[in-house]
Formats: sequence, structure tokens, C-alpha cells
Amino acid sequence: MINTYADLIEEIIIEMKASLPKEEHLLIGHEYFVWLDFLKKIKPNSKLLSLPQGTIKEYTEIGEIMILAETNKYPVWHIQPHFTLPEIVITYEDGELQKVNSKDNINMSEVWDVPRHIPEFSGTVKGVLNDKKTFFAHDLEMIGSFLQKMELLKNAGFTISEYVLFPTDKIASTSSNKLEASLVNFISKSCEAGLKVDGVVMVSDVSLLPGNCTRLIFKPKLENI
Amino acid sequence: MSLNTLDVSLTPREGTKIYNVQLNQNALETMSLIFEFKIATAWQISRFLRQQDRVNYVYLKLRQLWQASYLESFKIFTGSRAGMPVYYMLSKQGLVALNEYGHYDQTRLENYPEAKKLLSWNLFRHEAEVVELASLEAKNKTEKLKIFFKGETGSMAREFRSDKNIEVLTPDYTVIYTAFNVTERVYSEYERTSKSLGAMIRKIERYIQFLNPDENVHTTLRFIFQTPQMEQSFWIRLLMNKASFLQKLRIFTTNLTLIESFEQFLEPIYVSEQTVKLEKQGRLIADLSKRIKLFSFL
Repeated sequence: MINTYADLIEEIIIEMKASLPKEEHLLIGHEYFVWLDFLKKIKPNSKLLSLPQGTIKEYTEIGEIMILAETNKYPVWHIQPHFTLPEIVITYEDGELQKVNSKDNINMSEVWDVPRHIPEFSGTVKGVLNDKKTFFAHDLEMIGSFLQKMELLKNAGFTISEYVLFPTDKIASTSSNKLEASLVNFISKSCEAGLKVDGVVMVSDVSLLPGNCTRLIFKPKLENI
Repeated sequence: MSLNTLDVSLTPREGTKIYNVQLNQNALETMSLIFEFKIATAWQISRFLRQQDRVNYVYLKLRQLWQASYLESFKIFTGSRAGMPVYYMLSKQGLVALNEYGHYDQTRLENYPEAKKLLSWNLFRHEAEVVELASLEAKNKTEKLKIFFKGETGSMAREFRSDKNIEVLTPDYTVIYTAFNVTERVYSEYERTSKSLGAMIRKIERYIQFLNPDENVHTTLRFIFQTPQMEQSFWIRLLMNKASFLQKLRIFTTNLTLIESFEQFLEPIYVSEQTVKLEKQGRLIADLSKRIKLFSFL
């Protein structure tokens, strides 16, 4: 019986999502998230509870992130800027730079300040170009912790985007307003460095949400920036 | 009637105009609040009802309910800057009205104390401070943060044992916080006087026994002590004698010196088993210097 109801609830959620504009599907706070929470209780393995590959959940309320941190027993998080610039993906094979992919058709010659060789590395490096055409790397395709990735990027000669430790240990004693203010301050500093930033990305070494999701985005409301 | 050395009596209605007030939703809500908290002033009611800008309206409404014999009133010098506030309590007619409109069952209504009892110094002080604390906390309601209150008479949980209706939970008030689809219940106990270790243990034990493990996840038992010393003593005794309680129930404490404004209810003013440390400095003390918020999302 419970399975029949769970299936019905899945159908309702799908319908609710279908009525939303595409860009709002992942914004928490929509009515259907209440139904998702209930679905989590009655059918934790539902496909609707996993995020599609490559998508990152966006939050606009810092309180929701604070709850998530508490639910995950205050894990170690790092924060990076969330760029509005198009992402550039650089591919290396057997340690040699192979290609540069971007939605804006940026070619390899424009990304001039990246290392041509990374010994024994095969995979991708993700980043953005700022106004002065400096490439800021923010992610590397490899198995390892966030800090190991940043260290490897730095040692390989990349300019990396700024990152700091998110004060998860202070969540219990810091007000949501103060925490939001410190994140807004972090965004402002990134903007001063000539980067187009509209939020922060929280990076965790452990999964925070169903679907092995280790990253989430916090975008403060415009009036708070 | 005597309140310590003061003579306090219910304000007589003789000579005042009899007012036929209409018991609309607002009036019943006001009466329910007074019933739940036993006594309340106009400014406290207005905090709960979010009518700070309409305090005068609340004053008028309360006076009309009093004139219509649904409420009793009395003035008392509390030693505060407020001077001699007018307190309201429910009259017999008010209780009957609440019953008629189906707001509470008969058992709960029968539990409402008589004026004689309410005007005893100890009970009055306790109830006056409880309603003041709760109404202050109510001022933190926002669109994002919903806060709902139940006073002592509304919070009370009963159980039938051996054909007897036994009170098992008697928090001074219960607060329900809701934000971002998370609902947290806070049973609040205001401790004005020191209690024996046995009495304190029995009180916490009742919560542990009554609440089932599923309910404990989003439930907090909060003690608000009158002094920091009482809070200190509570933690030493709890940790030395019944530390196991802390594994079964989320217990938070604070004291009145940390609540000077309503906003402080949302600030890091609480001690929990995560923050308290037992230290030996000649004698055993509980280090309560580290304080946290009631909930992470505040």
C-alpha cells in the first residue's frame, strides 16, 4: 500500500516540477520540496531524490545551509567564489594539454597562462577567465580531498581561485545574519579581484545530499550584496 | 486577599457600564492566550498577537471583555518600571465561553486556577514572569521564522493510568519554531526557585518517559533559570548524577541575566551538553562560558 502512495507522490512532484521554469527546479523553498522531504521518509531510494549528474543545488537562504551543516554533523567545508563567467574546461592526457572547451568558443591561444604539462595527469581542470584573461582554476578531476586538489593545481602552476574554510564549527553560535554577512564579504572581495561572482560554492569531501552531491551554491539575495 | 504585604483584590465592576461584547475570533484568541498563560497584561497580549501598532486596540478589547464579565482584572506593583500594570485573568463566565466555543475540553478548563490561588505571591510571580518571557520571545516572529506558543494549560499532557487522568508533562510553556520546512518544539521550564535534585530528576524523567524516541529528534527541553548560580548548580548535579539523560533528550539552559531583550532568545545564550565542561578549580565547577543558539538556523 505504501508503495502505491509513494508512486502517487512521485507523480505529484513530477507534475509540480514540470509547472516550474527550468532554472527554478533546483531552488530550494519551492512548494514541492515539502513533498520531497516527505518522499525521503517513505521512499528514500526514490530517483527523484537524486540530483541529475553535474547539477549543483542552489540556496538563497543561509538558514537552509546551516540546517544542512547541522544534519551532516558540522562537516569540513571550503568555500570558493561562484562565477557567473562561462566555465572553461581544459583537458590533459598523459600529462599533456590537449584541448580547451568553453561555451564561448574560447580557443587554446586565449588561455595562455596555464601549464602545458602536468606530469602523469590525465583528466580535466575547470576554471574561468577574468577581465585580464587570467585563468583561475577552481576544480580538478581526480580522486582526493578538496585541499589535495587545490595543492596539486597550485604546484602545477595554475592561478587558483581564493578559497577559505567555511566556519561550520561556528554555526551553532553565529547568527544567520552574521554568517550571511561574512559570505557576502567574501563575494565582494572576489569581485574586487576582477572576477564576476554572484555567490559562493560550498565544497565538501563527503556527500551532503542524495546523488553523491559534494557541492552546493549559496547565492545571497541581491539586496544583501 | 493578601499578597505578601500587599493587599491585592480583583477590580470591582460596580458602577461600570455593562458591555455586551461580541465574542469574535480576536476576542476568543485573546481569551485563549489568557487561559493558557493564566494571567496577562495588554502589552503582553499585543506581543503575541503581533499588534504592537495597535496596543490601544488591545487595551480597549480587554477592558470590554472585562466589562462583559469574561475577564477579571487586578493591579499590582511588581517593582518594575512598568509601575502598576493591569493583569487580566479569566472569569468563570470566560471559562464557560471558551468551553461553549469548543476551544478547550472540560478537563483543561477545570484546571484553571481560582483567583484566590492565582493571587498568591509565589504563583503570581511565577506566572507573571513566564508570560513576560513567552511574550518577549513571541516578538521574534517573522515571515521566515514562525513561532507558535502554547501556555502551561495548553501544553499540559495527560495520560490515563488506572482510570485516573494523570498530568505527565507540565511545561510552563511550549514554543514551536518553524523555518525552512523544519519544525522544532521547545518545552520551556522557568525555574524561579532552586529545586531538590530529586525533584529535578523526576521532572526530566517525565519528559523522557512521555516522549517517544521519534519525537525527541525535534524536541528540546529548555530551562530558564532565574540566576546564573542556579544554572551552574543544575549542570553540576545533572552531570554528576544523571548524565545519561543528555543522551535521551536535548536539554538546553539559560538564565535571566542573558535575556535583556527579545532578540537575545535567538542569540547564543544557551548551554547544552555539547558546550558544558566540568572543571576542578579547588571545587568542582561547570564551565558554562561557551554558549550556543537554540537552533542552528537562527
